[in-house]
Amino acid sequence: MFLILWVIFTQLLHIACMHIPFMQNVLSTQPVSFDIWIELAMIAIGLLVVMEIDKWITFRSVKSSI
Amino acid sequence: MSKKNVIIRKLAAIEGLGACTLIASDKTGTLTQNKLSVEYFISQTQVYDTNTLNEAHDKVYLASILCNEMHYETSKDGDVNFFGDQVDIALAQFAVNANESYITNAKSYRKIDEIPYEPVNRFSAVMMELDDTLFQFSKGSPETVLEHCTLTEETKKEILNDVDAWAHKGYRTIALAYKESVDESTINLKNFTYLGFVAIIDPVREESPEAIKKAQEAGIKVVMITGDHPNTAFCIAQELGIASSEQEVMNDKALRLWEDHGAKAEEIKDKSVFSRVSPAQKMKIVMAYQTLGHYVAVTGDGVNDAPALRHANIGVAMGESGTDIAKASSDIILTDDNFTSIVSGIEEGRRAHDNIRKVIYLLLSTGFAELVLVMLSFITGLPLPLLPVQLLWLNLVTNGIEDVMLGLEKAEPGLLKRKPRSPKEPIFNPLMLRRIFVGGLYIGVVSFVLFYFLLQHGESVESARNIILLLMVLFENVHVFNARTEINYLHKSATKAVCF
Repeated sequence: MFLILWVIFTQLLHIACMHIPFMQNVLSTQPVSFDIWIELAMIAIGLLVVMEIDKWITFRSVKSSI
Repeated sequence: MSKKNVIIRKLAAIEGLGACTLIASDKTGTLTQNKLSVEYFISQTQVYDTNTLNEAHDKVYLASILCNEMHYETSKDGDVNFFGDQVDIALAQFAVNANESYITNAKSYRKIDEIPYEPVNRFSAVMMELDDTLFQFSKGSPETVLEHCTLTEETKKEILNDVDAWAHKGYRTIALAYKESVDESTINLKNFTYLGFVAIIDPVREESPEAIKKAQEAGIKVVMITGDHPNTAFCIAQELGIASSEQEVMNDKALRLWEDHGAKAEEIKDKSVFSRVSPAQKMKIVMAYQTLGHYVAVTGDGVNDAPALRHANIGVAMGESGTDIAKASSDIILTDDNFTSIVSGIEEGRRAHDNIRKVIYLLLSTGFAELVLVMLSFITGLPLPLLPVQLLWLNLVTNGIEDVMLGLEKAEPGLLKRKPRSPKEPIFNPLMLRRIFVGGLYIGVVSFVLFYFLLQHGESVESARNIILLLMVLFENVHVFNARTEINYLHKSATKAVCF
């Protein structure tokens, strides 16, 4: 899907910024280790879970109010 | 939008269409095809449909095609195109459908005399020479044509009753008569032989019932406003699925009474068909529905419709048949005059509104998250977790790309199954505020906690910021998918996305 491709593009753009010396200077970035990558990805995916749970709570209360 | 045959004159109308709760539509041309066609021929003794009629009814066809003021053109591939009055075209088509030779032969007959159609006379007549015999044909409203015929008063009455019954079924009726004239050299309107009358119908557009069902499923009330006879209107409304009982029909008398009583909105709440409506009444109906809290889209094409179009929340003008005044006072124009296009317009409007919300949601919730993160660091006396240039990078570049993509999102499934949102509802409804708060809080708090731990474990501020920046980018990328839908669960819409 279109949107997924763009999200991947954005991510690659940022990864590039972490490795290209010029951008490293501008944004004060540096490459990170693989372990940290995994940890950060897990935390980020946690956001999906939180929002889905919130959705579930909202809809349950909507249904019970009817 | 123009690909869906909708031209937007006022930009706000796109979003307005999405909030529409009631469509007040014209009948002729919008819900129907505005192409009259002969359905039945009713002789004195029998009802024929166009298939059971045969060569024996030669005179009927001759009368239809000869006593006719249409013009036609034969295109290169042999199709015949008719021009002129819709009734004349319907009759000519009726004869040609039976046998194509009628149209070619019609040219070879010599016209001796004719009385052209005048609305005041309500009939037309013609005298022709067919193979050395002189014939006179007459066609017009049954009342007038019957006067030329040799029939007893009683039979005439019977026929007229019959005509009434057909009119109530939604048909337009045209009577036909002929005579062989032996010694007359001009048309003499006496002693005609009555042939019968044809029942003509303006068929509904094939896609209209479907579109109306879609609109009703989307929680939009559809109302038909027409100048037609109440019975005709009800008949068509039933076929379209707009009305189910005659209780829902307002005729001219009821409308006048309603006006005299002060045009109270409550009284027309449950009506869905308005017949014999004058332009002024149309406007009053629109305004009454607005006081009931409806967000009304009104269609119109005539000069008289301009006031109603102006008063409507969304004035919809007809591109093909509409007058310039109607177009100028409208908000959107349907290029194909088709009701179906309104429904696709509504879908498009809802999509636009949804996408605006998605973009705002993503922007505000990530903004709120950054605020939480920075404020928490301030309060606890930690160094700035993100540098200004890093914040810029997050907000302008990565977030910017995602916002543009969300703005171009396709419609969510089930978009037209939803009830219309209340016209008074702001973009920030409680659901959206709650989602902004929950999402933003999670991102902000989690990244602050991580920042805190990184510093505690002896990471340099530089490298901690680097990790937080990466985390924020990841958060944003994940959050795009949260922004895509407010109501559907992701795992449900994801299965659909994978299929692409």
